[in-house]
Amino acid sequence: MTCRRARKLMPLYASFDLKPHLEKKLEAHLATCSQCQQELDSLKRALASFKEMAQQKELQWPDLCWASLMEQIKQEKTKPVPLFVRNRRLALGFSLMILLLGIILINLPREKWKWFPLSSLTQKIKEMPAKEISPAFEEKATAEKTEAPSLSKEKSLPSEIPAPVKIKKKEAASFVASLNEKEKPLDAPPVEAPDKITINLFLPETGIQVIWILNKDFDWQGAIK
Amino acid sequence: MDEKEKELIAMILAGETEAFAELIFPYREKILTLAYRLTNNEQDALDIAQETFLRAFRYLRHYNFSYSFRHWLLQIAVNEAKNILRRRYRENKAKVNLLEIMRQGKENQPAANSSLKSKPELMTDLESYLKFLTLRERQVLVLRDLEGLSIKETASLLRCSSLSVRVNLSRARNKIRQLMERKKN
Repeated sequence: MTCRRARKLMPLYASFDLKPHLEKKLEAHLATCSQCQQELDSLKRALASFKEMAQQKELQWPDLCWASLMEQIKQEKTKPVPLFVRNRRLALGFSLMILLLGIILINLPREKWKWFPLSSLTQKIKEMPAKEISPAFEEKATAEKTEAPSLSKEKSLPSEIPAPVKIKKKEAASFVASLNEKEKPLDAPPVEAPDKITINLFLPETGIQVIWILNKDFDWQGAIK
Repeated sequence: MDEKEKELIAMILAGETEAFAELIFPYREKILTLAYRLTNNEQDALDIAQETFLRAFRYLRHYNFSYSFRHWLLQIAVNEAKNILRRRYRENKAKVNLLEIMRQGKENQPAANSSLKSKPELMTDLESYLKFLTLRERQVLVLRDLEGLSIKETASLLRCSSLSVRVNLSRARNKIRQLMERKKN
């Protein structure tokens, strides 16, 4: 190590702030160079006297200033800090717990939501319109029923198209069952023929009514005029 | 961190403001002296110390218990000193500009100009040495050598790297030695 490099490292070496490998190198140089050793001694002396100077001069608070500071602090409005603000870990844990609970609730199937207070409310909302509207529909339906015979007597066209017939689940199931029965193997015993099918045609302009009668295989059975 | 300090902080946060005086009592001279060393002005030092304790009281709820209370107070004081010095620098700049304007406008009235000049204060050796250091060098020297913080602590307090602290510390010590030798000669 050169003297120039040693002089650069001395200020840090004086208070043991130098890294160990540099410290060893500098110590090795100082053991051989008396001039650098003298410089280091003078630096250490200067720093020691500087620290002494600093210790001698200590400021004291003027009583008036300290009293005014305490008065200011008393006047500062302080609110008691909530527990969650004081303890951040607790706050973090609590928020994570709420988040997890939310995720679990969202992923639960709808059937298990019955216990939840809001589920009954949503159920009520769903039921409400049906209950309210159904009486009005019933009234309309009864009115139409009363009007319908008079129209037929006058032989005029019905004003409204009849509503499509809703197929109930049970009916659908029986229909499917009947279809399955049709697909039975040939070995199965023959099924009895059902009733005849009638197709009714009525022309209001002429007043002619024709009824075609067919069997289950759509074979012609006759007609009534 | 001291258990007593923890208890006192908990009491203050619960609403007992009287405990604050007890909490800051051991640090009141240290913070004032630190502020004085950073600014070289007694009035500024008093302002900084007052503001430091007031801020500490206001933001006590944000205090992180993993750091020492002393370290936290030192950080507030250093930041406050930085703000005050910046403000003084702006004020002095404005004063110099005003002085120049007045000199240009009233060249025939030199007596009026002399009243604006601040009187040279009687400085101790320490202040005269610190005066020759830059703000960063002074901060590093005061915190490391006079307050006894480690290099890492100083770096975290000043929000700079350890390398920067080492470089500035080395420069500051060299300057102090040169100033002392010059004075002796």
